[in-house]
Amino acid sequence: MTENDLASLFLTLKLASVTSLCLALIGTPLAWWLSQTTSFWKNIVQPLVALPIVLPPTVIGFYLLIAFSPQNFFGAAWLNSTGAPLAFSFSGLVAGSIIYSLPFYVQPVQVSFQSIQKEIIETATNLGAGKIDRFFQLIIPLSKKGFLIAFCLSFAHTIGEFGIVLMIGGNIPEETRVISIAIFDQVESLNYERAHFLSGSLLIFSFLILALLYRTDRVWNEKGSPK
Amino acid sequence: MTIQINARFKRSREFEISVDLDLEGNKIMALFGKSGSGKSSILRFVAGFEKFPDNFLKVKETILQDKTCFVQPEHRNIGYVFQSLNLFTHLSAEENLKFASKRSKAKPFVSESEVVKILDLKSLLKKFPSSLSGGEQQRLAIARSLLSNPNLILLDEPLSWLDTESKLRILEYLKEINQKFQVPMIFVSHSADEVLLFSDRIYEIEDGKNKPSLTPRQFRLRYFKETNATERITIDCQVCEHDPVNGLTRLNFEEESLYIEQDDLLENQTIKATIKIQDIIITRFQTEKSSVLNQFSATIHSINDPGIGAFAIIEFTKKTQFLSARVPRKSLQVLSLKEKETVFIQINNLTVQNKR
Repeated sequence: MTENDLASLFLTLKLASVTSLCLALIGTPLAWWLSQTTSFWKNIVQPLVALPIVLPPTVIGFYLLIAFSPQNFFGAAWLNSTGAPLAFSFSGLVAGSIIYSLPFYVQPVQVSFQSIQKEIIETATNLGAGKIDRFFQLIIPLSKKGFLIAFCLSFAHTIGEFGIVLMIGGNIPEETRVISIAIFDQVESLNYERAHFLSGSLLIFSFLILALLYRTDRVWNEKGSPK
Repeated sequence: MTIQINARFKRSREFEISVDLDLEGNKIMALFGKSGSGKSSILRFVAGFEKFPDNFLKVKETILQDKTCFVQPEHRNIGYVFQSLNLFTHLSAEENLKFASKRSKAKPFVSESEVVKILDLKSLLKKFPSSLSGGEQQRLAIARSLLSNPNLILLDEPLSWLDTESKLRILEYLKEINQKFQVPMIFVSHSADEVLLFSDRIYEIEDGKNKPSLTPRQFRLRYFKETNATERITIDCQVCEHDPVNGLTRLNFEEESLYIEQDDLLENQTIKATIKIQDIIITRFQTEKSSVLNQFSATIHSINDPGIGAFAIIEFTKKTQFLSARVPRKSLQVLSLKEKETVFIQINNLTVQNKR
């Protein structure tokens, strides 16, 4: 493995970790709101969250690129406050990945939240647990399966991301050249051996993540979870 | 008044709850009725999960809801054993109990070890709820609600999963908790047996509305008709004077005179006279020329016509006391009896257990 490959691999893992972390912070409250609300806005927000599943990554990438442009409000505000443009930067990739992987995090967590019986939450309330207490002591532990799936899917999905990265990140070593871009690069330059190696690693890695996910799910089921 | 509930709210578009219930002393109130009659909705209201304006709820000295205030459910300190039990599946039995005791702000009236012993949970503490049987889960749910040291306990069909033997044992234990620690309870059940065994004051709930409350004795008369024939009632009387000429003793029953032939009763003492319910005869008018000495007027409180068989039970009020009579259903029509009417009753035979 060359130094360049290692750098790409490290960058990819960093991107996936940062993205998953940000998703946990943004996606968990969003999933909770979606699972509980009866407001009209759910009709708008729910499809918006799911949009990245059906939209071609290039479309998302294109609009993000426009939004990141310093000629636009968002891009300009970012440039003013950080001193660096979002496009073709690691931060830009994180922002893009969060949007791209949002449904893969929000949906499993939301489904888990929705499957908790209202009366279970009321029972905790009745025993004297307040809102925050209930959320951390009851709702999160009861949704651990949803969180596991959400983490694995959003992590793996970010690792496999290509279209958006190409649009908003380009191909800058140690900044935006993630593993999928590196593979594309090697194939372009007919360097099949390196492409094989990188693709094979990604394949095995993705397989291991999924295997771990299903295994954990099985163990939790056997240990006795909700009837 | 220990508990006062005045609740009017729509549970769904078509179903309205409209009840006025109260309970004196730290006793046990039963809500009895078919499933879907609104019993559980009333419990949910008391626990604070049905927030509607213009309702009133007082428990002990605390107003939990009125026009200006609404105490949030987590601050009500009311124990609630749900019909679905709702054990926390991610916690072991012991951790379920701890969840309650850790959050309780009130002074504990039972220790965890006592509850564990009486509800026989010791061997289950390390297990998870999903590996417990229905009865075990039920005992755990009851234990958990006790450990939150509530001011009032709501029990929604708490015994449905238990066999008869554990049912009796747990009812006995709940009753002991009620008496020893003066915790009032509201008990929801569709089983007349359980209600009779457990409650001090019974409200029948039908279509979201309550009927007038019944004492266990009235309840038994109304719902256990198969024992009619041998049913007896007791009334409180004061012994007046002995009339040696006629060999009779006069008793005072709510300002009416009753005569019995017993002559060994102490004057002025209060005694209980027993009457078989088929020995009470109803007439529309006072019969002056009758061999029956014991006659007085009384008000019909309720007519319990089972709709089949030969007999119906009529309950009467005479000032503060209750009487019941077993009469042929045919007589209901002949006399065209209605509730709240005043009629005359004749008592053929009454007996007194002399307490000396």
